[in-house]
Amino acid sequence: MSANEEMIRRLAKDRLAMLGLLIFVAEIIVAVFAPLIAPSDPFAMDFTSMLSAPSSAHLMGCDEMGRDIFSRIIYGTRYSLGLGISVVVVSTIAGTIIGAIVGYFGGVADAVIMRIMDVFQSIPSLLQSVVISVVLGTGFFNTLLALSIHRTVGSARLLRGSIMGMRHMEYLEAADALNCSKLRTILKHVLPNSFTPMIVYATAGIASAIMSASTLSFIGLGIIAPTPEWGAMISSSRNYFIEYPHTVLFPGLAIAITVFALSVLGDGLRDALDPKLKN
Amino acid sequence: MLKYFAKRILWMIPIVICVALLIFSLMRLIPGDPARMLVSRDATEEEYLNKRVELGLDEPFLTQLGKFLTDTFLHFDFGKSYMTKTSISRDIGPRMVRTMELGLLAAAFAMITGILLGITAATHVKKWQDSLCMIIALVGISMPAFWAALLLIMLFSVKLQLLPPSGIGGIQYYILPAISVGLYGTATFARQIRSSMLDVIGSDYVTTARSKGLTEREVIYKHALPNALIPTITIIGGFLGQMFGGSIVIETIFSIPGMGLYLITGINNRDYPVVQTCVILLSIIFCIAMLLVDLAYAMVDPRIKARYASSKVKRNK
Repeated sequence: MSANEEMIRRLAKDRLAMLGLLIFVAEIIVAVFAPLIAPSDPFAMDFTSMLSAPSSAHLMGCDEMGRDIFSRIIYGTRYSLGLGISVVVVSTIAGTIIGAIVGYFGGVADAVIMRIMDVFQSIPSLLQSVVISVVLGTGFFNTLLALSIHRTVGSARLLRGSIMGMRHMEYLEAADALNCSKLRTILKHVLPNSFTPMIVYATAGIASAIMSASTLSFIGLGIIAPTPEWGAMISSSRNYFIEYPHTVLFPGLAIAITVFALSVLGDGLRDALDPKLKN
Repeated sequence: MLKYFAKRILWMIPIVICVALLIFSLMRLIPGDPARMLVSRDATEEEYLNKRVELGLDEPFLTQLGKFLTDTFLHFDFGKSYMTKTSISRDIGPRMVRTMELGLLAAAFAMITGILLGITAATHVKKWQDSLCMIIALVGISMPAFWAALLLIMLFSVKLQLLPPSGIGGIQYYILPAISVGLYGTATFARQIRSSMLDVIGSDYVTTARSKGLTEREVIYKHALPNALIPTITIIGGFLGQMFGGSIVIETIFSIPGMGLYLITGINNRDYPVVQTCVILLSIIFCIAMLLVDLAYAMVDPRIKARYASSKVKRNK
């Protein structure tokens, strides 16, 4: 497909976006091979090196339990990045199903589901995640669910919007005229054509999911200590940060770098997909 | 257009009631019985049951729900806090004011710094000033608000000892919290204003203004900026959502007794009425803010005004 090649070519020229992609891929590799990369056990406590400053033995120092912060950040990619990616995958799939149904069939299903989504969207997103994670409790899967609900509504709306825009396109009329079943029309013709806005939304979504996840963990919901999620690490070291700033500095940097990488990648994708910017 | 907004305002009523219903039901699903938490550890079964009656938890779910809805929406009575046994309607007033103050300060900070960064970037496009402003914006987007807050406390309260690290009092207590909450807004405004300024600067009326011999300053601030601000209004909605969420966390860090801190304390104490009230009120404020954003957008952009005026009205968010 030449349109895709064109897009990739434009994306490759965007140096900032490529840097973002590089960081993102590197972090995925780190998450997969965490046990090989981390110098020590992220849960092993060593009370002799409690709150010790960065040194050659502990690259980023140790936290209040004497755990090696560098190893915890390495393992943290599994939780923070894993959670961010899972939230986007789950909410995109759920949102696609809902959005495709309401967008394509319209009518009563559309009216009812849209009103339900209005209710969800009138609660600020973090507030919603906070309430849901209070109900569900802490842990990876509960947090995943708490963060996915709001995004599902967002991606369903986005898909519905783009389907509404193309409902009267000629190629859909043609599909109809060829006696193509509704399911086949949705899968073969509608979804591939609504793909681009979804991709941009998803990339930016990983960043915001990581941010929300770390915020939840910071206030003691979400994923809690001793699990090395980055927000949870900051939360547990919070009382020591004035004397020992390294305990919150490094986990925060890890979040910031990841969000930065995904934001510039998302920007790059959006620009590459925008035909107006073609030059 | 008036009809459209009247309709939107009327729509808010069922939506807010549904939000209340949703939150009330979710609160009942939380594991852990508030009555059990409130009585002492060695309380007898009878004391515990009495507590349940006192809190109204012994009644069937639907009776509780009905009472809650009529009290909240007909009498504007949010009930009593389980913990302090004081009227929430009375307690919430000053807290709401503090959260709103923090929000307004954060919004003002975000707007001013965002506009300045955006204009600087757009008027020096592809020069070092542009890169610098956009790097600042990207850093602002990437930093979690709670982490930025801790760093700000570190720098301004501990190292420089300029500003208080927590508590309430004069305006100086609000500066660091407002910056932490507003930082994300600064960054998004700066990026939006840069791109819409660049769109506007190339247009004919800006060329006309230049050829009339106006100074560059007049061209930018009188002709280009007002038009570049129009698309910025749409992103205020997203920023507000972020801000309400952010204030929950930031208030706990700076110990500002606003709605966010009230909510978190309520959650930790299983204080259902407090949590319900905070979520419902924050959602109402959020809905009103979103409505005002839409209204402002329709007011300033004649194209949108025309679309609302025509008979075919479609809701867009």
